Amino acid sequence: MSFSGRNDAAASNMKPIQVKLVLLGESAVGKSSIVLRFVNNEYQDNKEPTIGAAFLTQRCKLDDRIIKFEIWDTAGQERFHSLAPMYYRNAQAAVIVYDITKPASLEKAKTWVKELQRQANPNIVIALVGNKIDLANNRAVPYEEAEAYANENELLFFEASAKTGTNIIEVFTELAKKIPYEQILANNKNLNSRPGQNENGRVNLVDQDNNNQENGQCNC
Amino acid sequence: MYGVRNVNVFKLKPDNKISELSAFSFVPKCNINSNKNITTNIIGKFQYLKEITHPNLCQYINITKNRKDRLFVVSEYFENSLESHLKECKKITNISRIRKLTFQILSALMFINSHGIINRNLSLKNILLDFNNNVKLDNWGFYDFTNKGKDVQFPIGNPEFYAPEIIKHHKCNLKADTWALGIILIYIYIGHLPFNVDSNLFLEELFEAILSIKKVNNENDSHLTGKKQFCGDLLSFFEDELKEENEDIKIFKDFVLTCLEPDSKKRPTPSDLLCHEFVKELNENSNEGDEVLSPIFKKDFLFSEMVKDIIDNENENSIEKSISNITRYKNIIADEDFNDLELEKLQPRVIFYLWKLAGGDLEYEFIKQELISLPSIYRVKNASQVYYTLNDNQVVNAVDINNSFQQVSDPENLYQEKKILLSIDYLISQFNEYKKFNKKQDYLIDMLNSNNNNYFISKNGISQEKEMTFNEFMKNNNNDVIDFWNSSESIKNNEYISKYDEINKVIDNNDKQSNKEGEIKANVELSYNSSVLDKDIVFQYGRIKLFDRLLNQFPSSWNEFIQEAKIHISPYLRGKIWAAILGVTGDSKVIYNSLCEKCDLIYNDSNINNSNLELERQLEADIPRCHQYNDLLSSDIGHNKLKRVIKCWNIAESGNLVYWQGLDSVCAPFVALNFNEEEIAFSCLLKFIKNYMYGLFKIDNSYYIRSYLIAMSHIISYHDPELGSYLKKINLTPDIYAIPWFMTMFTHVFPLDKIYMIWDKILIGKPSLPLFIGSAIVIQLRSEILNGDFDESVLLLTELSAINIDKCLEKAQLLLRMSPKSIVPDFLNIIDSTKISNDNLDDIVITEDLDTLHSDELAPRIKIEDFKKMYNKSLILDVRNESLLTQSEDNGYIVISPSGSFLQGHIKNSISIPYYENDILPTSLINYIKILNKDYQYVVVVGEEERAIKLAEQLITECIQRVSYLNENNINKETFESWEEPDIWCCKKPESEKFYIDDNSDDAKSLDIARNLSPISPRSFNSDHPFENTQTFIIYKCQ
Repeated sequence: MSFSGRNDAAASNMKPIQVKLVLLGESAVGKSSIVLRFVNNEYQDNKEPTIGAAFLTQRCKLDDRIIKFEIWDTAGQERFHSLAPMYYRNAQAAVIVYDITKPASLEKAKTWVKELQRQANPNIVIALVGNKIDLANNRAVPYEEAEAYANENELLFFEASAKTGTNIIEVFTELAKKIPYEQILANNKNLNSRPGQNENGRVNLVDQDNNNQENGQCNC
Repeated sequence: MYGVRNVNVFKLKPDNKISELSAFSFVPKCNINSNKNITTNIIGKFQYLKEITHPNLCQYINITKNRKDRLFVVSEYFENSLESHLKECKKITNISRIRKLTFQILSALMFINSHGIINRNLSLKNILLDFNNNVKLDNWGFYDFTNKGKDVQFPIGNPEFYAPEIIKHHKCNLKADTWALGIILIYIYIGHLPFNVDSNLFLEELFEAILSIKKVNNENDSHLTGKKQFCGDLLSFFEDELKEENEDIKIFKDFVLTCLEPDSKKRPTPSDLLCHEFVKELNENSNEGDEVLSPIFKKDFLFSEMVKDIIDNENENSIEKSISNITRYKNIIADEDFNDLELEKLQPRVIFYLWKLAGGDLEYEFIKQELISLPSIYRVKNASQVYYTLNDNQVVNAVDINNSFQQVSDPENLYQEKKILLSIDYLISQFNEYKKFNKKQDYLIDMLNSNNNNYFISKNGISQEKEMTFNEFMKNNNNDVIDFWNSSESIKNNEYISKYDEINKVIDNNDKQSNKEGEIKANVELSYNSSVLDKDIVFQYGRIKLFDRLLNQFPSSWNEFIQEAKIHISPYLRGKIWAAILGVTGDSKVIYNSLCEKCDLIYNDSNINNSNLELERQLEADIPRCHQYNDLLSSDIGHNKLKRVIKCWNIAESGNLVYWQGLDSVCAPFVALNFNEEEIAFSCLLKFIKNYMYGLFKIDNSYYIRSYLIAMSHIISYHDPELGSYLKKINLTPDIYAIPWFMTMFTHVFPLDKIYMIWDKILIGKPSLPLFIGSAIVIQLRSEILNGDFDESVLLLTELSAINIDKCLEKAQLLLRMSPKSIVPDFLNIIDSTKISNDNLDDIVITEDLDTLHSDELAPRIKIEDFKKMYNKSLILDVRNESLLTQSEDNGYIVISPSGSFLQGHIKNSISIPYYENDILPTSLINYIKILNKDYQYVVVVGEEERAIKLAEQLITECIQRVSYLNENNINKETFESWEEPDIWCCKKPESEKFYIDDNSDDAKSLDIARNLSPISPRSFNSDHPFENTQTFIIYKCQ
């Protein structure tokens, strides 16, 4: 899997496949840091909390496809929970993050798994990520425990570190491999994946840019 | 005798009593393995010391760090010290002089002890003497703010004055100061250190000497013993006592003996010593009580003189008042009183602030002076060895000390004992330079006068507006443009502006006489933004002085105060000014303290309930991420303060409002500004959230946050239709990027310096100002957004570091003035009116109905009250007409068969818009509307909801500015009955207008209007059609 800047991707003739990905998990487990590492290969100590949600994109090449991750990074605090469905609705992938030094954060991750299984797109590919393995000295969640849970629920499972970069790209690569692209391509024609709007017939900007004819419907 | 000599030795400077400022520098321990930031912790700890003032203490003023974590500490300074004094007079033997010194040292020590601080740094060097030979202890907080010396890699204090327990156990309490005082007193009495030690083996022998001292207590005699070879002078000091006849000297020596108790458990504390016979009398005579805490704003005068009331008599009528105000402000500007630097009246910290404004740079001062203080190197180096040996619990051993000598990296780089003086002359000369430069202009005027901004964005040649500044707008607002927010308050504002106009004229005249035009222009250019004003020393000096007066007369100075705050808030006093604006009162300390007690009970309870536990956990996660680039907020003390203030807020709100992530950021500016006065930070937070962030922290805040987001998109499409419709087209709604803007009042998206600028305006602005600030941010990015796609625009709107805040704020205020009130959510207008009428916010009831927000509509809905203000400047488009529209197949003429409600009655001057299929008007008709609109400021669509909304949306998509829908489904005569204009509802027969228009042109000249008094039959003008590619319309228009 390789990552390329926007221009490279645009230069190649391939049409990127958009994958809507949502990050969920308790406060301060490192959701935004994981995205920052994945998108910009950066790390920032004391990254400020996310309020509401943040949107970022990253393109990557997998085999002969160009995949464009549209990443929705959500707020961790329980109060923002009511916003979450807006972001995971129509998502094709989810990264549920916990902190390996905080057992409570795994419990929260489990409730997210349940919620997604119940309410999200049935084909959603979920990865469970135990973040902060750079703090392995303070580990409080055994690898085996989380792995067993992930297997049981058919989730991808990783332990990673946004700080050191360990396993971050792997999370997204493995997710990208498991996504059913044919369905997305079929769905993209009818559905739009951005939150905050009513469901029917919205304009999908990127698709419109690339092939206006296919996505001509505009109700404004 | 001594007194006479004294005068010669000390230059009394009664005419020049400006205390000097000095700085020293040190490097804290580096912390590789720990998450804790030692440097910021020192800065955090230091803040408290700034508040401790006592006549015998040098005031601490400031601490800053450079990029390499080197710290610079600024404090009050006096040139003379006991050390320099002894150099001149050899020794002090006058007992009453010693008594006075002793007493003053003890009072200072007792005072800091009562604040929980141990000096442990008493030495001849650190006992300074002021102009009247009073003691001023220096460096008294060094040991304290370096966490008892643990945060630095060098020893604090002079080993000569170390108490035995420091050497033996590396432990000490406040009694170590007692010991040091004892040694110092012998030193000044005999004129040298009472230990006879070889300078080559100085420390080893010194410590051996100190440790050898023992006290023998017999029934009627107690005396010291020690190694004669080292302590000879010390012992003989006491032995001489026996021969001494003088009672005073006996008492003095007894006092010293009491101090030099090797067993720290038996040694008295400084406050115990104040009861000793030696100083008892002085102590009893001193009437100094503890400082009494006065009401919040009276606490400290920045200027030492009390000023007379400068507020004008309330009874004066308004014209007289405004005239007197003009004179007054003229005076303030021209008044020597306000522009002359009176340093002797200023507190040292204000002097330091001005020194920095004048361009003073601490680090540069140190570099300039190549500061390596040679004399202290050897002592510090050696002592640090001993210190570390002790630290590691090793036995003091001279060999070890010498062996480990190599390991320490140049301690002289870690600590500059020598202090540098900050030159006040430099400040004065800079001040006068600036003054010359500034004479020609008036900042206050420029604040309101400024700007090259183009407020009306011109697009595609349509509705070209002339540029208008906020000031022009304010002046014009009774003529061309409507100020929807005009209230008693803004009338005052007008007065104010006229005031400045007056001053402007005066200054203009002066300018004409004396200045080259180019110079003025350059000056005006410079003064546009507040960040330049913030750095202008003369302006800031005047503002500090003015606000100091106003705050000290608070609350009677309220009106004056608010007006001044609207012009410019001085950064130096921002914390206090904000608190005053928010209405924080003097009882906040009592309230806060009781909340803190509750807070301790709740959070220390093992049965802590779930919601509190959740808050505790959330704060644990959030606070270490809250504005951590700020030195104060990233210190441990800062973290604790943030947590405590938020917990107390949570208790005070008792469940009505709850902690949402982001509230920590809202709290941050208040804590940073009132770091030493948590209670003020708390009260500010409480009031700010109540009054400026209504509803946003309710458990279910969806109605409020959505109101903000939707209103913002309405504002954008109202004023910048091209941008608004583009954003809608790419589905970039505010909920994608603007939730943190409003949930945190921008504190989450901007750093503190920018937040200060924004909040300066929010605090004195309308409750809906934040909405317009948000809109102004988006509009500032318009060209980038219009040229970008969804992804790029989201990034632009989440990374706002390039936003010009000054421009944005000015734009926001203009947008607000030009927007009908009903464009903002109802609840904000309700809050505004309760503010004006001084009603209680708790009593208002808001209907939280999400359906009333109309998120999918592009055009705002306005209320009839706003329409009343704007109707005669509005192009009113009436869509109630059920008239049928026919299109002639052969020639493309469009003909409207007149019928419907419009003929029966309509709003004066309105135009009937016919029904088109799908409610989409043809371009020709749109162009016609654009041409007509040139004579108007606003477009209002009236009539049946669904059609009207569609038309309004189409007009916005066509880039027509300020389009709204009158939110009244059935307008009729009754709607306007209460209006004073009787003929607003017009029942006379409308005239029909026939016009031809070229599709490709919006030039009015191609418009040919034929007027007929009665409806015409379509066929009657078939042959009149003069142009090709044009369409002919007949529109009914009320003339």
